[in-house]
Amino acid sequence: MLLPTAYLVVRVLDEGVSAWEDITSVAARQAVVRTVALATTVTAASVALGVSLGWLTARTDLPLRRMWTVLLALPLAVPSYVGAYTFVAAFGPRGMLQDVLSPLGVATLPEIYGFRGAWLVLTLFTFPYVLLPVRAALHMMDRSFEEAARGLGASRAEAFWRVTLPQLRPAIAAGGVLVALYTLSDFGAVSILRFDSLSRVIYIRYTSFDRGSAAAFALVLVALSLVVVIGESMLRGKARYHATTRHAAAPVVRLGAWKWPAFAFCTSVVIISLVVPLSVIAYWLARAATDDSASWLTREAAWNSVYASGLAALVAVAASLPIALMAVRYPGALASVAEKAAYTGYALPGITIALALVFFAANYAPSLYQTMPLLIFAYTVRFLPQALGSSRTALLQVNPNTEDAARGLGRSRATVFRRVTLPQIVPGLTSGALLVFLTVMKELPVTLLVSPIGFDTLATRVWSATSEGFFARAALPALLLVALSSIPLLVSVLREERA
Amino acid sequence: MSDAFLHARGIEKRYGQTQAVAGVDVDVAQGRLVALLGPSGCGKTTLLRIIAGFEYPDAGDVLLDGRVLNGKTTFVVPEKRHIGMVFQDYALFPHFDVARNIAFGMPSGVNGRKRVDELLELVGLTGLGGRMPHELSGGQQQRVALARTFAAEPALVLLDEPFSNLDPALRTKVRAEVRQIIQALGTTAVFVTHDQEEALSVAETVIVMLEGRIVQSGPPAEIYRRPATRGVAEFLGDANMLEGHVRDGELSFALGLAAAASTHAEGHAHVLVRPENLALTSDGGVQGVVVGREYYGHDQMISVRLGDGTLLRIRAHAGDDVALGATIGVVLRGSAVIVGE
Repeated sequence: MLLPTAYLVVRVLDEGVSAWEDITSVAARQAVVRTVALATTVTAASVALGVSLGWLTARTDLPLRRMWTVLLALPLAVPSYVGAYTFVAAFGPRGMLQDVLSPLGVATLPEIYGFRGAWLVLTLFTFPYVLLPVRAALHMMDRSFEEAARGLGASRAEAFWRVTLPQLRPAIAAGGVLVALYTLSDFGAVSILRFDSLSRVIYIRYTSFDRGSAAAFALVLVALSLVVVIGESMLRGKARYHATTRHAAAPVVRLGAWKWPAFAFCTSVVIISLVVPLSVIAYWLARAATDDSASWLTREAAWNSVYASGLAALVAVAASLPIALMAVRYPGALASVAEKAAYTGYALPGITIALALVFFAANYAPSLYQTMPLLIFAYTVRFLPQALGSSRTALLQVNPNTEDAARGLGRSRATVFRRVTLPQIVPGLTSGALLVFLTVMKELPVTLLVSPIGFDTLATRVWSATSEGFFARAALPALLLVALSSIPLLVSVLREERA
Repeated sequence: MSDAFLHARGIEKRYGQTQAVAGVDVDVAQGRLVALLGPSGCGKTTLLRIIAGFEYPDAGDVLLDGRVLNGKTTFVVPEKRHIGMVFQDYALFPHFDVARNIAFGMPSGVNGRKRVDELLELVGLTGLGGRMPHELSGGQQQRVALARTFAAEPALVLLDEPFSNLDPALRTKVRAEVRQIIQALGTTAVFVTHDQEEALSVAETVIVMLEGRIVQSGPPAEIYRRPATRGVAEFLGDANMLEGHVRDGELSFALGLAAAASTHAEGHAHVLVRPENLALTSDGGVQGVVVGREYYGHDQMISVRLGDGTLLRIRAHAGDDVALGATIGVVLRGSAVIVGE
């Protein structure tokens, strides 16, 4: 797992002085500033949206609260590059809006490429990362703290700022870190919207065969991600938050005159982040109906996506099982090192993993270069943390006494694993595999860089068709991706609602 | 070398700074039902898990029927020990029905279905073989766990807090049933408990373990009546611990004089008087003031402070009408026992 970063370091050290010049160059500095600016503003906007919407949907008498709960989580099902595609295909040159407006004499639309576009798109499709934990925390939070504050003479607003908000800090931090990491590692949206953040710069340098500086920039990106991860663990705070007792009903705040403005706020967020993308896709889908090649290409890409994602899901779950077993059943120094190493995949942007593996294969394992096994390996490195999470959870739910009991009944360790442990974890492993499957399906940078030549997936179809301005050809794969991604999301949101 | 069926010697186990088991010797005769009694955290479960082979001791030997299970160079894996363990949470396999749970550990060559039916009948669950574990009550799960353990024909059965997950109303009944089943099969069994009432009422032999050491073992009545130490005395039930003095074979303490056991050294002594060995009287006795009264229905516990400040707890009939603040006499009705430090 550490191999990609380690190899990047070696590679950059090889370059020596020129790598140092790359890292300290004006271009690098500008890319870092742009990337940090984007990550900061997207995170700030997501926190603002996530906290306000979380509070509105969890604690107030907002009309149609349950509907908003589901709808406001769904933007997460739109991969950033699909979101970017829909915005370009709607508001960009030769886009839907221009199609409609040009007969009316409107020749140019406001520029959507660059910082503003990237910021808007990334915010709109990542804010649920903050919304979901904040809402969960609001549901879990003990109302008695707030009531105690009110009883001590604080107004409702004071109680919110001084009692509720500080208690939400862990949830906001957790969501904010996800948004920041997502933005840092995002490749699809920034490249479609032509915003030169680090990952796009890395890609451009790589494709223009300036591989040494691509590697150097990739290391800078890893460093930024690490800053976020380490910063979060330092800021997490020392206070312990817990509910003393569970109360059945959370207090409902009456919005009064603010009811309809709040309703309009939720409506507009849903329109921009859900209705617009979906209707853009529908518009181009209708236009594509006449284009035979589009559907043929999609069928092949869909099959490739299913095939690669399925393999990656199986391999990732299989690889996660021994690590999870060690961590859960034999906790110790070795297990914790293995687990931590596996989790670094979370902090490593996909493009750096891809780059490292491409370099490595090109230099040391040419027979693997641009092959399926390497692609599957790259996916595994990237998504092992996800598989590990679910394998761990599945194992934690197995009562270790059932394993001991089976051994006491005269069965060997291997038999016990096969007959007692495995049957109990299969459901958990299956849902882990499904999750990895759906995530790999959406993955873009690793697929672009590592896959065999001519290996198109749904994700790369959306990306390349959009880059080339064939909006109609991107519509069907985009729709498929959104539909697939919304399945696990709907399941978990509905489960949370029922709880 | 002892001729005991289960023989453990010098068992030690340390977790970091904590000495869980500190040099324990245990001998259990064949066919016995033994309770390993101690407060939570005294190391009794660890000892049980060492005997079963689920933990490695830092030192010590375990022999079963003369066969070395743990020795200097020997470690027999759990599945080859012929020791059955019944877990506190029963640990039934959630993905198997009752019959498959029971059949899991059966030796090959046994007529599975017939044996399962026999065992179901033995534990009083005839006809429930098709149920899944979560469809059973706690008491039923307990009995399935027993049947599953017996199906493997173990030489020794270990039970870890077998009754603690049952609600109190059910507990007494299940205890009696489990005792019957174990004794009907003549199996040697050791069960761990922190409940002194449970240990005294179920076991034939009680081993008391405190802070990683075994402090006393013997028949229940012996342990209760003649505890070896203050710790055992207080752990086994309500105890009045008084200070006394032995001179010329006679014990003198707050309640007067009593004959001391001839073995006891002259001088200062700790004296145990159980509350049921005291009685209240309006006529004579040692005078004291009633300072507390806990009414239990079947009886009541009266606290009396004597003139010299000694506080006594006395088990009295529920009908005795005792007023707080009243002056009353206390007499010794049974025996006072001198115990060690």
